[in-house]
Amino acid sequence: LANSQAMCTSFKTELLNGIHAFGTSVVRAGTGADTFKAALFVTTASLGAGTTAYSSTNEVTNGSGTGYTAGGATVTNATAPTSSGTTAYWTPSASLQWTSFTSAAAFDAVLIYNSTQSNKAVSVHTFGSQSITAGTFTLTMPTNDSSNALLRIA
Amino acid sequence: MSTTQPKFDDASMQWIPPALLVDAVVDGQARQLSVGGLECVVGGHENDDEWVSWIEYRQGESVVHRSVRMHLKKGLLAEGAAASFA
Repeated sequence: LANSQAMCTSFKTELLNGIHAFGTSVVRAGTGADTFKAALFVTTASLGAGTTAYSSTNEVTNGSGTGYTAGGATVTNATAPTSSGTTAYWTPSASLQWTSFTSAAAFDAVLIYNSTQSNKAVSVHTFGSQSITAGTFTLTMPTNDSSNALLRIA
Repeated sequence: MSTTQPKFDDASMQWIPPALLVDAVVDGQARQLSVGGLECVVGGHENDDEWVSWIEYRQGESVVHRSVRMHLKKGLLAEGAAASFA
């Protein structure tokens, strides 16, 4: 046997579960999972690694009707983070869907953010530019495993 | 889901169109149109990142209904490494 340098896999999963706090600014109201939301953004937005929190600037709006609500949709979170091999991962447990929706402009990104923690940003996922007219936009999630999950820490 | 919206069937991987009426926007106004009077076009694409299928109803040159099914194939990977003291 020999020692091997590594970031512990259990720690990666625990990061996703909010167990560790290296800073002093974390205030948690309880032990339940936070509420995460998903918001769509138009192609002219500039979301990315530098995004720190949800903002309605450049968020998709309704070209007609009320199919999209500012702030987006609540992410279904019925599957706790887990790990396989040395990778910790998490994926929403259901698709995101907006119905009877008309987008005022084309959109190509979804921001996942934590509405419990002051709307802090989690991740930005881009896709091919889309527009919706009086229709349904469904965003289905990748397989929840160590190779494909929506969020992975390896 | 409303019966005036196309439904994507995961088993057959095909769109099931509404039987009679479809939700539409014409000249900025929401309304329901008879599917019989519209051209229905289905398309999509696939690459390493996504699989997309869409259905459109067209009235002349105008798209009066468009629904999209977007599947994200892969999420984001953050790689964590522990520094060595060596």
